[in-house]
Amino acid sequence: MAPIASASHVQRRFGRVLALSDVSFELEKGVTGLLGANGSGKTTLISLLLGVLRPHGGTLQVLGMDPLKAGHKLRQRIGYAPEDDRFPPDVKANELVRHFAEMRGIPRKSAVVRASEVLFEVGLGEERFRPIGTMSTGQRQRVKLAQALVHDPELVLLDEPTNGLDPIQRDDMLALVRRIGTDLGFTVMISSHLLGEVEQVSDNIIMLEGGRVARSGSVATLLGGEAPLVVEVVSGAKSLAEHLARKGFAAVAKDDLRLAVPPPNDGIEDAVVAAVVELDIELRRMEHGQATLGELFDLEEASAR
Amino acid sequence: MSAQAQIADRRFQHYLGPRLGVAYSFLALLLHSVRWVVGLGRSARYKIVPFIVIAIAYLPSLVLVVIATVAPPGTPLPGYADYYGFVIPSIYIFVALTAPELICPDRRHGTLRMYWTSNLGPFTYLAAKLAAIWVVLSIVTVGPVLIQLFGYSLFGQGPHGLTEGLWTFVHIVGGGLTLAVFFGSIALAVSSLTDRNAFASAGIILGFILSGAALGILQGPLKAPAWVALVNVNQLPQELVNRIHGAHGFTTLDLPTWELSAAAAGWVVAAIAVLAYRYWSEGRR
Repeated sequence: MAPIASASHVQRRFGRVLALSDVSFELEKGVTGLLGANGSGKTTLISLLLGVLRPHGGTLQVLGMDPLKAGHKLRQRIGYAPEDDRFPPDVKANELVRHFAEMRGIPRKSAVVRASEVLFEVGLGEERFRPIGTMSTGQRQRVKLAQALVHDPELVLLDEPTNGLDPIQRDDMLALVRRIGTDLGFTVMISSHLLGEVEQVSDNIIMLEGGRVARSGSVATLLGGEAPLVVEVVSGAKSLAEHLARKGFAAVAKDDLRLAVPPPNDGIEDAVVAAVVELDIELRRMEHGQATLGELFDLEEASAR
Repeated sequence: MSAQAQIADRRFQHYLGPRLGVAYSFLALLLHSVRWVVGLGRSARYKIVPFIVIAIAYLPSLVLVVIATVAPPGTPLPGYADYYGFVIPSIYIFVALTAPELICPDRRHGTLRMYWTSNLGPFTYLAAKLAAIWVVLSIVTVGPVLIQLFGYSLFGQGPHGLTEGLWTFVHIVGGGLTLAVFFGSIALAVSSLTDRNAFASAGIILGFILSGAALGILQGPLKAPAWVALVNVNQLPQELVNRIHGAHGFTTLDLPTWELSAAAAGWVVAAIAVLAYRYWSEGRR
């Protein structure tokens, strides 16, 4: 099956700054997390996919079209929610969503109906006649999401949709994004600088680092394989990790309470027991557990060193 | 349970209807923008000021119609071009209020990017906004003078015969649109330089006032040539409207009509060029 979007050696610069140096990936159906630190080129990549920016090298295909040449015929099939959520404060949510449906070519009568439907779907059914200026940040983010879905796009691009949300609102928003990708069947690309968020909702990830794709693939594959050994101690995890490193194990301590040792780690259990006795460290727990993507990436980096 | 009972499926439905093109979205934005600046569909505080200014612009035409009802036939009444002499301050206020409101909020609230990813790009968005300001300004530059024409005609003070009546109508619409296009384009260009309505409004009013003051200095103490009067964005379009109606108004603009027309066109083209550059730059961000 053809990918929803693909990039091959895409470059983009702003003056002397090379925002994207060599980006290649294939975007499949489902929810894809676009991960990267601030300034890593996430928004630039989204703008390229939308055809708003011109790449300075490489090729891009979105829904089988060249974003620059396809113009509005492609943009009608993409939903986009920008990072910014400063909407005109006196506009009601349903009016804003209806207006952007019309801007994407939906006739007025249908736009009115769909604006209400989609606002119900994102959990703003009772709030849809409220001016946006009276809404909370979480509600404004949902309005932004609704306007990206109202024209029933084939690809939804969400630029940092959890910005400014508290932890509860963030979890709600991530659950909503996940539901949009699974229950409603949209193909979603969600950008974030937080690995945990991306891992929580995504089927696939594309990780940008220094203008390049550092990692990409399905979350299940990245998490699969032999599990690392996770060791928890009362204190002294860092000195334990150093001790194990001297013995030839690539142990990584995230803090002074917890460390992980990536596979292959044959004989690690005996080595840990010997080490805690030698260093007089109180061991709390030791098991081959499921690591998060973040821990796996830390372990990979530690192994590479 | 009743046999007629149904399960109402409120779940999200995928859209299978038509998807219209650029022309539809252009018209939708034009209509939305016109409604937006005159406060239609918005709370009362956004309606008050535009409607007061519109009322002020229409008041002289109603007064002139009342005068026409009591004046004996043949009494010289103010002409159609003279009307703008009464209402030009309210036109300035109206354009200074409406032009910034048309484009500044989209820049300030970051919604431009959402337009760029719709059927509209920077230039179609801009074209819709320009058309909107021209339509909105026509409310005060064409409407009152048409009322004056109909009032005069009704009470025997208007043009004689159908042909003269039609020509007068065309002159009024042409003159009003000239003012709307001229003031609207320049005001929108000034507004595009900032995302704050207040700064843009102040800039527009100051621009119109300062161009008159600059002309006074240039043609007075500095004894500049006559064509310098063409920089006066205050008198230039009014004089052009006088010429459309076959009259001469400002002695400081005693220049051939083609020079006035070229200068006015130059101002409009320059304003549109500023707008195009500003939005082209925005589109590349």
